[in-house]
Amino acid sequence: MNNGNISFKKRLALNVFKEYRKTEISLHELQYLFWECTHRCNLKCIHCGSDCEQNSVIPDMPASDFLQITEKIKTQYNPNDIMIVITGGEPLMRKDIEFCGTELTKQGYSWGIVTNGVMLSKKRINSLINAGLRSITVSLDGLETSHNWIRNKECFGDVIKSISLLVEQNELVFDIVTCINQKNCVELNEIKELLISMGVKRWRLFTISPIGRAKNNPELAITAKQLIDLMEFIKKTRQEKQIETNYECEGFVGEYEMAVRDGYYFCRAGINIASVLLDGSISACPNIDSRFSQGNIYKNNFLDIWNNQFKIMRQRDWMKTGICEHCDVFKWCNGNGMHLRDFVSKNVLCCQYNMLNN
Amino acid sequence: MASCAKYGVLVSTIYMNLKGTVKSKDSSQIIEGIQVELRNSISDPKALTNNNGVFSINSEIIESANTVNLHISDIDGALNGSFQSKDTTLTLSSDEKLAQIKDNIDIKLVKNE
Repeated sequence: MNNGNISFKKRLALNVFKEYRKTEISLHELQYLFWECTHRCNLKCIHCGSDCEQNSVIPDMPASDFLQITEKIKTQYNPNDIMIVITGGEPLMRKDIEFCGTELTKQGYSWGIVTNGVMLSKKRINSLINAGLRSITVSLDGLETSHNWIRNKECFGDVIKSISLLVEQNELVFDIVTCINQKNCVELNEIKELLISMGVKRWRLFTISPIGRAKNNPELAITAKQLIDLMEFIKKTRQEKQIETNYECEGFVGEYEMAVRDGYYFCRAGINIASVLLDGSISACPNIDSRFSQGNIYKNNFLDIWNNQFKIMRQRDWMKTGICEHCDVFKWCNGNGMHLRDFVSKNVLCCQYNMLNN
Repeated sequence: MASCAKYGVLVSTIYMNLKGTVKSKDSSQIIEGIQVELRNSISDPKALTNNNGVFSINSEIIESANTVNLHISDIDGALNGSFQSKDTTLTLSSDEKLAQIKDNIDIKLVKNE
């Protein structure tokens, strides 16, 4: 691909941003730590990247194991500067989330959860807030039929009810994420109107990655034309300023950079983001192929791994293979998202820039 | 408001204005052209001191942060004198975070021999 589709002004800005990215890579400060606390889930979504279900064979990680890691991280980092994101599975399947949250708060961390929203109630929200919850993200993947289709359960009503409860909260940072697929991409305007009418202030959209269960379901991946329509929709919605809308860090989108998100594309996996996965693996974002894991908390010192490993995520020249090999925009996209890298072939599984420009 | 990962949550942020003066430790004279960089913010912004030795940085920081880290460096060489770089950590009080301003930051640099 050549970069001829990107304006001169944007190319200049991207070159400046490239220097900022270099600095961030050299500093590699931990800012965001995922904890995959369970694989249990009350749903069985058809796009789940972790293949989660109700009766996971892998037991939940004991809270004390994770809390020991966060305590050790404090020897190198100010916990105020790090956000802990509790994810799953469905984190609310665990009864000790409030305990973990309280302990993380005592240690000085901010923490948040990502949830499908089905198990939230006023009582549970209050107990999470009392445990120090600062940020919560709820998935809403379409209007009733398409949401229930992807979630594999009649749960749209429960999620809407939870969103209504969260809108009333002033103490939480709260947003909705929507995973765009073949079925819901025609509903974007209606979903937007629904969220605005409910008083939702922030909305993030992302496209399906061909990983986990999603790779075997052709109805999920959108076409190049649908991706362009999505970019135009987000751009227009941002201009309307009724709801803060962003395209998530799915990939580099060329001329749409800054028009569809607040910052330029930057995959921070392994640069500022780490995760402790359910089996103790130390990785970056939880949706990255587990074979890219860099260590394990049960065998290694987390900070040693964070400080001395992760080289494949900080130095990404090895990603110049397949369609990336001779691509002019590699210097800006740096190989797209780490979660889109195939472990075996080392090729990128999906290139949004390519889709938008072919 | 910032988010930095797919399937992650938003990080609650606030805007802060940091204002202060850079002086020579030996003579207390103000120094022009010193770069002050805020390190633990969303975008690591920089500012130069003006001819009164004053800098001002506006930046988005994580709301829960109770400290900010400044890296101060003399980037103009011998012009305006030659000074050693310095890293300093400042504490943010809840009142300062509420007002979104921390001023009267006093930084003293040691002159190079």
